[in-house]
Amino acid sequence: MIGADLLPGPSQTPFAMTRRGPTRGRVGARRIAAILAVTLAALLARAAGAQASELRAEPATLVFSQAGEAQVVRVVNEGLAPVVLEPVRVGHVTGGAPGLPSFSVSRPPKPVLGPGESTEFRVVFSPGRGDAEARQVFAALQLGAEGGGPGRPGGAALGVALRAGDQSKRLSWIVFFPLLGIPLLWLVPRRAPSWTRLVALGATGVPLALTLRMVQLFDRHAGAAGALRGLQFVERAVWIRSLHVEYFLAVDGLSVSLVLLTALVTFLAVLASFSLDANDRSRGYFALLLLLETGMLGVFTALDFFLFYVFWEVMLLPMYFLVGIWGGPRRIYAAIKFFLYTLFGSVLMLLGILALYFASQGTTLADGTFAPHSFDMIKLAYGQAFTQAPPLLGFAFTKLVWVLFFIGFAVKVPVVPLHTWLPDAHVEAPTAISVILAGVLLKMGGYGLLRVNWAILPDATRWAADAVSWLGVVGIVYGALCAMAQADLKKMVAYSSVSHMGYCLLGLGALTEAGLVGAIVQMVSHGLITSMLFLCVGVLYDRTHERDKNAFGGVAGVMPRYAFFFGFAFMASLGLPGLSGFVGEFLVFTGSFPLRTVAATLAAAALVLTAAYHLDALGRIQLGAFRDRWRSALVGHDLSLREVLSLLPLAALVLWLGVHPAPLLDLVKGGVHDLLGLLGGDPTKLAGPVP
Amino acid sequence: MNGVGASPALELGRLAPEAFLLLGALGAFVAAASRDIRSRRRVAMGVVGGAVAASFAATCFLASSTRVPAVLFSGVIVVDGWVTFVRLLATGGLAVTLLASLGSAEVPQTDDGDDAMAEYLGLLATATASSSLMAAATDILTVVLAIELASLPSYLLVALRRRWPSSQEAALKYVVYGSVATGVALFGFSWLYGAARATALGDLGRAFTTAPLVAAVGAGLVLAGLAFKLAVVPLHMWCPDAYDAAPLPVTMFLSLVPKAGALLLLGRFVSALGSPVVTAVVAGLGALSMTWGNLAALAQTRVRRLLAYSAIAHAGTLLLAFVATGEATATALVAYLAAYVFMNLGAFVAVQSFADLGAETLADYRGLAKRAPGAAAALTVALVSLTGLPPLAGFVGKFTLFSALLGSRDHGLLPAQVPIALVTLAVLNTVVALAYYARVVKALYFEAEGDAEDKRELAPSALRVEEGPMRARAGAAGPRRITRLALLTLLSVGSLVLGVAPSPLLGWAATWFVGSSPLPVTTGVSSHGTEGARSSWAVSPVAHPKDLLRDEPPAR
Repeated sequence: MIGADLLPGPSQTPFAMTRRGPTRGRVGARRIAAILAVTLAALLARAAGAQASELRAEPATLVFSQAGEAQVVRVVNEGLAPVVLEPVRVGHVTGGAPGLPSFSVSRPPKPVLGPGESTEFRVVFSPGRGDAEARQVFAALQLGAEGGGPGRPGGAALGVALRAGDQSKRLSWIVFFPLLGIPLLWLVPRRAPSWTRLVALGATGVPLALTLRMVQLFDRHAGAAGALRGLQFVERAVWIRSLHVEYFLAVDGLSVSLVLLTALVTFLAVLASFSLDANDRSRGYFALLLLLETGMLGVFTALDFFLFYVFWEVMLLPMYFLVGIWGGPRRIYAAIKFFLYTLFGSVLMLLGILALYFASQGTTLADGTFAPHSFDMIKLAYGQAFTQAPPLLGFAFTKLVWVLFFIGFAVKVPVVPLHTWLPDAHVEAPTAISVILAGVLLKMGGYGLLRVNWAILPDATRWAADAVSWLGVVGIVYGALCAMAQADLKKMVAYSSVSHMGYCLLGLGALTEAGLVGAIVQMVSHGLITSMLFLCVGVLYDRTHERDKNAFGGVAGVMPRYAFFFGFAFMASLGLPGLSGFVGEFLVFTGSFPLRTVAATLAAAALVLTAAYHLDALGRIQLGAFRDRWRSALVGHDLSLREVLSLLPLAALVLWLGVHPAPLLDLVKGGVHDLLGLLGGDPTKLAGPVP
Repeated sequence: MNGVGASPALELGRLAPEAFLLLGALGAFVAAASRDIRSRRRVAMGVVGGAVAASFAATCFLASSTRVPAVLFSGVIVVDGWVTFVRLLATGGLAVTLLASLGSAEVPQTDDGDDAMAEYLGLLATATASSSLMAAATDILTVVLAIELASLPSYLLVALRRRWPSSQEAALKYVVYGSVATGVALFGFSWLYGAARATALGDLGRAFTTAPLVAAVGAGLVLAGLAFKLAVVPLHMWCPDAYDAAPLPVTMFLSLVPKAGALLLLGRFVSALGSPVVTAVVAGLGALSMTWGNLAALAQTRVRRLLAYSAIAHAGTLLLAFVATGEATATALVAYLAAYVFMNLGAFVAVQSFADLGAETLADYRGLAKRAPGAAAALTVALVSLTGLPPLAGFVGKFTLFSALLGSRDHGLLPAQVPIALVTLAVLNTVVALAYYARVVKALYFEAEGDAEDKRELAPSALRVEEGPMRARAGAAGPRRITRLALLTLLSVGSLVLGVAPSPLLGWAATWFVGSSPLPVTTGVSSHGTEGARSSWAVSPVAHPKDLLRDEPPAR
């Protein structure tokens, strides 16, 4: 057979060849390649044959664009036995309520399909009241099959996905656009390595522009009462059928502001990376940065637990390499510590995901097929009763799962006993990566707590809320004290992050609208402010390769522009009214004071510590006598245009949100309102006036 | 196939893939008798290569002609979806091994009178055939035969580097321990036979009702023998030595092909017995193996030994699959093993590239990402996949395995807490695994050549391999480099594709093993009081060959 064809006769052996000539190997390789091609083709043919199922629908997805539009589905029985089509119905994947957009389906002309026969259904799209939620409607035509082969459950044997509205796939473009830049990086000619920066700038700039447009289109009044539970720009499709995993992206009030923050901070981080040497390795640097951005944006938009976990882990590896290769002297230690800590947290999260999945009720996937359990984070939050689940290993189910998730997210936030990776990673990472670490990565922890612990396990959240508030206070005070003790400027900023994320926890633990809104605002504003702080420290370090705050003095005299931004960032960070840091902290205090009076009071008192270390560092560096040893490094080297460009948008946003926080509050409020509904709190208790 | 109509011939036809491989092996051995080194190598390559292709094609043909399990030779052999899977996996593994051997400096292909290429190829083909026979065996007789047929070539393959003392030492250890293990398994089978008075695997479960103590002893002895073949703690000690001393293509072959067969055999055995005690022992072995394997890997300095311990840990994780029951188990085993093909072979092929540069220890690996960026990237992908991080294949394997365990926690033979505890342990093991995989990546990317930061690397390792004459030939020639690079790309991309789009594979597994088969796929032992052991992938060995005709699906 094949072997015989390829068997060379002894007479064909070219004896004239040298014994070790390369030709021999090439002939062998070619022969093997031929064999491989034959076998691969056979395998593909085999795989194609195995896919045949008994009932088939054409097409598998119907997309409707206008009201009253009708489309036809053709169903063929390809099996060997007659199939009874019963029941036939339209299931709403994203919920469904009277008055909202819906689909209707005609009765089947032939309820029994013999082998080889086919029948057709008409599906009509009727728009509802035409509100903003009609932008995306997902439903599924479900065909039950009886009399099919064994192993088929009665009902929901086949589904046809029905979609209407906006099919722009905006979120997919935002999340995956950075990946498109990676192959482009390798197309940059070797002679011009600096072009890699421009490619990276483009690959992060486009998602930023798309995100800005998305925020503009975002409907601030869509709520959980609607068909889509307040979700917007929904995209869903079945990804891995046998595991019941969907590709499910959407944003709501909890996530939209963080998506914007991510896109902005990453773009500015690329701008800040221009100070790196442009060499061959910068391709790798920017490729990892772009992969990181996809991971981060994915975490904030994925609403299928499996997908969420994939994005969560995808972000780990680039960060490991970015810190480990381009970091400071202790980069290897910091990188491995970061990796191990985060992986430890995320495997606990994986256990939690599996536990929730197996305790969840059945659901309908995006194409109408039935799944016995659900990974849908929205379905898990609405209408699942995990309080009834049997205890796990002797612990109450919801409490154990809550703790698993909490540890997973607390590593990222970081909550104080689990924070030790943070100062190492932040200090050793290059400036741009510190900016991303502090500006975005920490927010993933806070977001995860809101999306998973608070929304899916509200009763356990109420059980633990007090402890969360106190952990927040511990973080605020301990972080501030540690920051005070640091001579290394970058380490001080790192600990200030620990302290500031403590305010988020305090707000989260309050379980009031002001507290939760405050926590999200604090996350966004801390993302902006701490990015400025790291950029400012980076500016000084780039010029002097020194980060000890005691080594400087009088910098304001020689670098006035720098002194302005430095002072601005420090004032914002210590919570000066009129800047965004104050808004978040104020909301957190007002939200937590009525219920957690002692904790809130302690946290407010710790503001004195915050002010102390900020003002101390500011004074030592900017004021006093100028040190002569920095004369060549600093004099005449005030901020360049690029540095101003990377700081200016942040400063403008910090000021704008400080003076006029309403747009951000509007974005966030809808999501928080729905969350409070889940938590059973009183949404009307919006404490205090908004500044 | 040849002689349609005659029943014994038809039955033999179902074993065509193995027959082709064994014929190829015979051809290679005959070719080895030739005096002309060059022609015998060419003939052996051609014959074995052809046999692999023919075996692959026959597997595909047989699998597409019917999905019904075929019970052959009065029930001593069964050819079902599992056998097909192991055949595909084994021939795929063999193909990769052959391609990797082309450029290997360690496979004896010198012309200083030491050429064993033809024998090498013949042994590989024999071991591949016996691997799928192990998966197909359903009777004590065929089981023992298949184990022996797999073991003997493995011993010889490890001993292949005749001039390397360490190779001889490892092979001797392997032979002595291995023969004892086979003997122990055989001894155990005789106890089981004595209690059950039957040689069919499906009937052995009876022993637990007639003579529980005898059955337990017998089952324990058989498990010990099989655990040795699988290199599961505490019977793993041959494995790091053998993996370290054997030529790398042999190592990658041993870590995959015979293991897959032995794993399926163990699975059939455990599920046929259907005894909670046996299942608990398997679970314990799995837990011990993954934990100890991972912890021991932390201490390794030679990358080959590190991968050997990683293989021990993965074998332990795979054993956990037999604690689960139901359809998800089949899917999990298929997903995990398929992922393992790509990540494990990928790691070994990459390590081969580094071995060509003379790098063996973690200290040698420092900064090599600059000198061999392709191999470093492929090794990173393979190791990340082995860790089980998304979006690579290893994550899908682990995830399906964990969800199979948790999903069947209430229907298994063991209390529901056991699967939960096992999953928790496995998940925590991931973190330990990351710690040592990350050390390899760290050495490759973060450190510069000549860094001497880690003093431990300088300590003498347990087994120093002399830097034989192979080092002189470092660096593969052009076409071989391209073959190597193509292999690495194939395996890395395979790992990624399987991780991002596992749906076809998982869907394939689901239709294959639980699809529209008219035969009830349960064990034949439920009448013996072990109804708990319903498993989708054990077989009914009692069907008569006459039933074969009825098994054929009606013509369309």
